[in-house]
Amino acid sequence: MSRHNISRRGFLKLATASSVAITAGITGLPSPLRASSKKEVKKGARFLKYDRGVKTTNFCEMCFWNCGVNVYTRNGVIHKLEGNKLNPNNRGHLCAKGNAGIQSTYDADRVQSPLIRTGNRGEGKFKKVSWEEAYKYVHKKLNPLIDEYGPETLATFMHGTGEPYPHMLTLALGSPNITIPAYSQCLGSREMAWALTFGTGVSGHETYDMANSKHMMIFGRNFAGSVQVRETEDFAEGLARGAKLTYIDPRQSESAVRATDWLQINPGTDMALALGFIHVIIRDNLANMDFVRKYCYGYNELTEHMKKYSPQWASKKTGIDAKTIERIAWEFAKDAPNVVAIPARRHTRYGNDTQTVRAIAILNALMGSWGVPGGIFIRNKVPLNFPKEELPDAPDARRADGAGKGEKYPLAPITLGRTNGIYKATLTKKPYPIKAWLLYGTNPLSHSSIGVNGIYKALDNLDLIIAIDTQFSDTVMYADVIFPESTYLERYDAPFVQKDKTPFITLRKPAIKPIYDTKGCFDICKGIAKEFELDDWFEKSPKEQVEELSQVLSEEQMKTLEKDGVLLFEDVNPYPCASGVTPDFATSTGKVQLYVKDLEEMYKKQGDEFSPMPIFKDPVMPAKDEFRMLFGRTPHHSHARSQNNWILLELQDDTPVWMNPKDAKKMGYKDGDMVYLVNAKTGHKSDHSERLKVTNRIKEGAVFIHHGFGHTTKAWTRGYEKGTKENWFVSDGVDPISGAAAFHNGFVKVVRA
Amino acid sequence: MNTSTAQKKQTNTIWLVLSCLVAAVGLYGMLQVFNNGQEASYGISREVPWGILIIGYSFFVALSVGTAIIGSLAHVFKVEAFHVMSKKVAMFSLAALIAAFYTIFWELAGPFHLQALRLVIYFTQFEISSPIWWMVTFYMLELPLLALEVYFLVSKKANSAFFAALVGFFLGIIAYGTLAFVFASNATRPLWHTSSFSIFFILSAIASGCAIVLIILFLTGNKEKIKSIKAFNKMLFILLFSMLFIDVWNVFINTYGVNSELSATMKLFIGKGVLANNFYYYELLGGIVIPMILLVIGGFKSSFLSAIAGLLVVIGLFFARFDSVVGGQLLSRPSTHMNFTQHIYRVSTSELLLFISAIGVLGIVYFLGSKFFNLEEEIH
Amino acid sequence: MSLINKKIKKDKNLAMVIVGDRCVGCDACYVACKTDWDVPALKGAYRTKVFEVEGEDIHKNPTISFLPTLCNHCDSAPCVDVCPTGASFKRDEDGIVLVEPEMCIGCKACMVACPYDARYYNEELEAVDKCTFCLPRISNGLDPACVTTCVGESRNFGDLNDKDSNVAKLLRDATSIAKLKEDEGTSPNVYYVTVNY
Repeated sequence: MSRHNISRRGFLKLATASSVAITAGITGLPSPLRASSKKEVKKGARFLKYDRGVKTTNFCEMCFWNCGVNVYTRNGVIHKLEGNKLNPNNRGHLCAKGNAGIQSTYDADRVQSPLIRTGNRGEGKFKKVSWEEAYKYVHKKLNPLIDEYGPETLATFMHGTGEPYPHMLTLALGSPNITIPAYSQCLGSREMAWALTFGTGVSGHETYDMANSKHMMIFGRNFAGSVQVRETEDFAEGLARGAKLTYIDPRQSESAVRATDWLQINPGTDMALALGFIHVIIRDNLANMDFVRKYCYGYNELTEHMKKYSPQWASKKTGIDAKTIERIAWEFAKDAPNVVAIPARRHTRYGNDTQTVRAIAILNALMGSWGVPGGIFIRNKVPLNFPKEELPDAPDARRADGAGKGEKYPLAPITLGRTNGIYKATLTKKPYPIKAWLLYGTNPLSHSSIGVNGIYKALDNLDLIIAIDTQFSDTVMYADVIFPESTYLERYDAPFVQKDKTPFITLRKPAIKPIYDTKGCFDICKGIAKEFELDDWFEKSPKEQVEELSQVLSEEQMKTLEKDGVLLFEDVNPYPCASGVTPDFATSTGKVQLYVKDLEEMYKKQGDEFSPMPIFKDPVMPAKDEFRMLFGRTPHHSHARSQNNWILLELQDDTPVWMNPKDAKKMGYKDGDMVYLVNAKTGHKSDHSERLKVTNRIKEGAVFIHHGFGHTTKAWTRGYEKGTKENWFVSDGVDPISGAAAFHNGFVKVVRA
Repeated sequence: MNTSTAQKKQTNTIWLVLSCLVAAVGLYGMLQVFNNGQEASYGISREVPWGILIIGYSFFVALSVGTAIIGSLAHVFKVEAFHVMSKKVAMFSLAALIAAFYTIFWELAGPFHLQALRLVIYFTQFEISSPIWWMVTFYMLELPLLALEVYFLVSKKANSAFFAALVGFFLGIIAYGTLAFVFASNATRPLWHTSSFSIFFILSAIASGCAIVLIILFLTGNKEKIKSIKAFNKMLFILLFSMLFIDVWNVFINTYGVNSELSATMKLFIGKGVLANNFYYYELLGGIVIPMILLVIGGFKSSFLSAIAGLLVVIGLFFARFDSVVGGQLLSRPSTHMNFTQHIYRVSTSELLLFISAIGVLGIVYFLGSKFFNLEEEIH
Repeated sequence: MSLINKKIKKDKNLAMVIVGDRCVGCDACYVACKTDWDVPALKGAYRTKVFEVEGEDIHKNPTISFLPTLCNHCDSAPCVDVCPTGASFKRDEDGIVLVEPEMCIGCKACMVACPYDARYYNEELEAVDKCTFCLPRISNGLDPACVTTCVGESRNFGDLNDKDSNVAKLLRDATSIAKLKEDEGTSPNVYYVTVNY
């Protein structure tokens, strides 16, 4: 196996073929003779030398978290990545994925030059072309489509630090259909609920102050398993300092292990449990009334509304003992306000996600955990005035995905868009045909919400698929033209400015020259824009943007930033409520909304799902011989992006199907049996069989696999068909308020291989 | 030179050619190692680092030491019945030892870089706590000794041959005991870390020596040597009986541990354990019980049946080595609070062919020696 | 453990102290180590690895815990005893157990002797390879790679002879201290502790 993997060393060998020839002559000698020819082998002397190499500062791009990274190169080859101690995102640590960043760069399976498709879609036949040819191809193909259908026929999907450039390109071309899957495929519903309650979301870099918390109540947010470094640190730190952990999840995840109480809840009933807690807190007068009176809106309505959600009722729904619900509510309230109730990050589950997170947000409000240590801290802006960036005017065309005012999902932000809405529009050609996709670092085939039939048909409706990516993902294999992006270790990016507890600026500088014929996303988008004579919008390159920082930073600050890679702005207060400062709640009432006024109108028109206070509805249940399909992160991989990274594949290269022993007994299965998954709705059967893992760690009636595997791209010589793709077995639901996807109502049959 | 000798010479040549063919299959394994390296070619792993090549080594060494001991019995104890075909037996012993070295050569690191030579270079480090160092020391003495013995026997220097045999007898026992110690010294492998392990090792080696002599007696048509056949039959029977006793009780006793590593290991050998088939059918039934029955049926004097029994004993010996070497490594756990992980050892094609080729190497050395020293003409 | 007991005299008493509860099982150590030391791309080739241990508590509830493993740099190292060439050796100055690849013949006796499966055969070096406590890094003023990257700050490294070192403090404050397979008499230098802070 080792021989077929191009490792960094393997690459080095290829790159320095001449020196290899010389050393080959030496290694041709029998090595003991070589050893003895030296006067004396100083035993172990080799272990005293360490060449750290040249340091360049960067931030990680293996996942969205962007940890600070110091890149060490020896003789122009990256040797090691190490965490930047000063970066608050990771404080010097890197996870497995971050450490494995090198292997993703020195990977012969990468896209190595611009390519144009020659074979059928998905066949993987491309011809190598020049950059000019590729740009011209886009113009040649896209222009007629724009002429015929209008610029809005182009939809753009973006994920990664280079996002501003495809965004700019799409706007300049005149299409409003820009989506970032992070909203509808991930944290959309959650952010919506926080925003409706507190006026702001907890953001992608979540503001939970776990390190100082006395009690964390976590509704299936797997901090230890999804490993965003600072959060995982804080989680471990909080627990080490003695915080209680109530962990609510049908599956015993890596985080559940450490729980004081792990509540193995019935899938889809998290809201009922939260309502039960709220009921007990109100009933027993445990709310932090100081906070409620000062900052909250609608406590009386809430009191009335919660009467019906007794712990006994919640117990019936959730399968958790009423006494336990009461006890935990009491314990939680006892440590208020230094407590935090945390919803999942990817809250695209049962179609009641916004309301579920609303209930959890209310729980936080009643504890008064906002703006206090151990609760939820407040993000601060970098106190600098950056020059305003000029953007093209917002396009006149209506969005295709139903997001924005006057549309089906009026609350969904148009800056992020509904990716699932674009999939649907492409498939149904409504409200108008989408004929072209621009994919930047995204892979709809691995996280679409419309199933195997839907997404492939949608691809068929497209006349043009443009991909900008570092690697051949499943969807990139379907692209008509591919622009190879340099990896984060090979390119500049704009300064990374993060609003945070301690806000900071960090820089990305290339550690090496691009190995292959690749460019940064800025250059690629500028190149395309030039064909349309729109390249005026691309004025300053990322490198120039970095240099421009000197206009807003002092000389000393600039020096620190250059040296450390990070510039912190420390004179801030993340805990206003604890220090008596009234925070700014950007809700329509200016207060923390226990009762959401904004939803009143929709509630009247469209019913319970839009209730200003959460109303519980039973989840859809699988038929008798079916299982609910649950999926989640593994600590060893980043979404569906890293499954071709050899070192991460060593850590995990399969997705065993978790099943409860009782279910297994019923089905006549035992641990280690090989099984297929079959989608109960579409009949789609998994590509290959998987090992059954029979364990109490998963609730009866549900099966679980890890997310991100089962790639269909043959260009991935190592990751191809490793594990099973959960994507084909999830539901295509939509949360009615946020418009984000709902995956966990998908049901599967488990059949023997 | 009479016709029968000519015929014998012809047969010898045929055997030699056959041996070369068998040895040639090893080329595949060598090619694999040369092109892809050992990791890719062998079935051994981090958890099971000792595979069929080490097993093959201990097997061939057992044959060598077994025959050396048997060959010297006649000299040492002056028992006339044992006094048969000393030259052939000594030659076989030498050949088996060379085959053993050949096998382990491929197991050691960097065969194409001749890293085995480092052993010679660093021998003067005197790593006296290392069982392997002692083993190497003894076999470095054993090899020339066996060569000398062959030389003395061929050149009919009876006295020198006697002394060589005498030293060879003790050195053989010590050397093979040290090889057993290489395994048994590992406190972390409870299956090996018992005194019965070494005893079984040496008994089975002597048994295999007996078996080889019986086979040679049959093949060379020395059917008139009924006295010798009888003596070796009885000796083999007693050895097999003791081996059976040790083997069976070893399993029974050790299975009765409470969740110890040893009892967990024993479960590999019984019931549905991965080594159970090997243990039941090849090691116990084929390697011990059936040979014993054959010896009894033949009334301890049938040349044919005892040769068959001998062959089975030799095959059984291989499986006994396989079971014990692999079985000792299959279970591991980093902490005593964890359950054992059962690892898998699958013999790879390259490994297997290299092992088979060692049989060829044994043949080549033996039949070459036979040709060179005119061993066919041996009469007693 | 051997016939001949070599006297252990160390100037420095280097030790790894692992706070068990802080390990989240992310395997960052595995990757950092493999990358820094050019460990070959092979599933069985690693110097450190985290085991996920599944079990049951007394109420039959499932439990998991994480067990980071590495070479224990035993004071009574069976791997050193069995080495026929002296390639495996224990440094007098700090007790680190090393393999000098130029002297290794690849007999793998040390791999068999190690109770912790801490060694592997490195095809590229054509020698057995193992954790060095990051000797090249620590002799140049850095922490070991796994300690540097450890997300849960579970791993700690230092000199136990230095009373102010992090590891000495942890051992003083620990509510429980364990070492792996102590009954094998290896006197390991990797400690697994629980700390209440």
